[in-house]
Amino acid sequence: MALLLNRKYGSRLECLYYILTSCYKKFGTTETFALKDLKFDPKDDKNVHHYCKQLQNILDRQCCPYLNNPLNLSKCYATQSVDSDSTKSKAVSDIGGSLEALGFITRIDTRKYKISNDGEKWVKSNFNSKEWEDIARKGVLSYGVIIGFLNKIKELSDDFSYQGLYLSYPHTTEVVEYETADHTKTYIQISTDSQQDSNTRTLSRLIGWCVAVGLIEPKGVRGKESTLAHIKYQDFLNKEELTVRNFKKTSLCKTLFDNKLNIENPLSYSRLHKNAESMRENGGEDLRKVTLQYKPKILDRRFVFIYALNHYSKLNQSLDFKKLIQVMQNHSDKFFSKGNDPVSIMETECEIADIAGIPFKIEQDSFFYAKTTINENILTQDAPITSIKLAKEIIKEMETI
Amino acid sequence: MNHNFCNGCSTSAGLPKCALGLAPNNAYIEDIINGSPLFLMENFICHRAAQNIVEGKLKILDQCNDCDLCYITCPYIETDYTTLFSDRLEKVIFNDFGKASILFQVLFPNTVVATEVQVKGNFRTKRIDLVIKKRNEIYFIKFLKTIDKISFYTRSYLEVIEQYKNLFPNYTFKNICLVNTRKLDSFISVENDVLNLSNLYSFIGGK
Repeated sequence: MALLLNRKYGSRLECLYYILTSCYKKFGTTETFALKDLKFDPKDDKNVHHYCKQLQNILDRQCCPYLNNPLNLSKCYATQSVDSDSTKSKAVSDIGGSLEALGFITRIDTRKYKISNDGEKWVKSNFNSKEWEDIARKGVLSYGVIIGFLNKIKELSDDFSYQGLYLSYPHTTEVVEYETADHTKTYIQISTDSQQDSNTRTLSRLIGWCVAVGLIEPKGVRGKESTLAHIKYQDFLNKEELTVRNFKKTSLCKTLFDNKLNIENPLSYSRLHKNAESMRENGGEDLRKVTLQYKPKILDRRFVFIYALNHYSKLNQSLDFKKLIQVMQNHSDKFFSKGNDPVSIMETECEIADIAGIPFKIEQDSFFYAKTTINENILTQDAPITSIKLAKEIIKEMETI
Repeated sequence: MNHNFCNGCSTSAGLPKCALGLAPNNAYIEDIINGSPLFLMENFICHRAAQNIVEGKLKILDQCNDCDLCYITCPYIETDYTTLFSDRLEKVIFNDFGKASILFQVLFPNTVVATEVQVKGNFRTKRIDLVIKKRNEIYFIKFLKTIDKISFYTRSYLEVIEQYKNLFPNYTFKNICLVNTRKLDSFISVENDVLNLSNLYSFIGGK
């Protein structure tokens, strides 16, 4: 399962490498582990401090350079510690999500993971080697959201700035009637998109990963003498914050879409919408309730679109978008709220394709040619059977028109 | 700052107070008010790892940016602290509550100063940035970097105060938003005080 990563903890591939190394030393590739097993444990003689090369010696104490207080009991900024309270669990959750997005760990069931073959190869490779970078690049390019980012910057000049880029959930204008707790009827616009700070964090992370594996280069940064991007730009990558706005595409980046890629780690069904359960935007509780109420429709219409796009991509055919909407309208109650135009909704919702890892080009206004195929097993991994059946039904109906 | 201010001191164990401080962390408000023992988190005084201890004396390294925090925390130095409330010092405490706590322990001796203080009950703000207990006065300090959040946090902290006023009627509670001096003019002072470090020092009654 891959998700839209929007936290800072897993932004540095080097940190992920040391954490995965620690995990490998304890569990290998045969034993399962939970995310809490990745947290720093001072009693563990294989904790990440035994492998991390980034520790700073401050007054004879070995400290993680990313902790605000180096003496914090968390000990590792990325995973926090077994002694940290539950509010810090999002750190290790982000680390797990990052490693899964890269394909270096695989989910066995809801809370159990194993290190994958690629994860093992990465851990066993030398950090200062081409092999390390090649494996990292393979992982990075397997993550659907990265493909969406690379597709967005494809349209920009070779020297580009990432400011103004939006790579998160589509902002769909959808206003619905809602009854408040005191039985007043009102109209609320559903929250379908991501907040700006979330988008900024996502972009920072993607840029960091792309620089580390040689897809883009930061402008105005000299770097060390090395042909390996993750070594050349190590100081830049390991800064606390992204300090550069302008980048340059490498030749690898520019030729990426010359052939159709297959994306191993696209977003899964449940990740095609943000986590509305933890919404804390302005507008408060009512907005959260309404968004949750319509979440199944939002998920299903995004899923059906991606599923159909992928279906036709695998056949090297285009998706007839007009036909898709026409058929979806026949099942309107499953996808759309009353009083909102399905065409307008879908014209915005199709932007989900970028972060889902299946960007497309449009020909003759309505024919969508996907630039990739995606791993359908991951897309449907946590999809309700009814949603998968619905998607297949939609495609079948499209074929009869 | 004079980088050679240190004359050396003997510490029975560990690092001297100019290098390492202890700050209560993650305590509950009840624990602070009731005088319960609090968990103390270690904090390096220097935010730039610009210190070395050589033969019992503090040696300040080149990467120091003269925030003066080590100078302030040295127990052997008597000085007018208000002359040291610089932009650099404010940046340090705004980025690190532990260092803020250590600074305030020096500025307000005989008080309890704790950071990231937990609140019982169902509040959106689950932690108060910094709490100072001075006799029966309890100060809730919110470190504010931007003006647009002032109403949100003021409301949140006042909700907490309402609860605790009932639980501890013999105490007075005060909500303060602490801002950087450079930004002070742009803040509108609402019903709760918006202060910079210098104002706070006068308001609470510093050393």
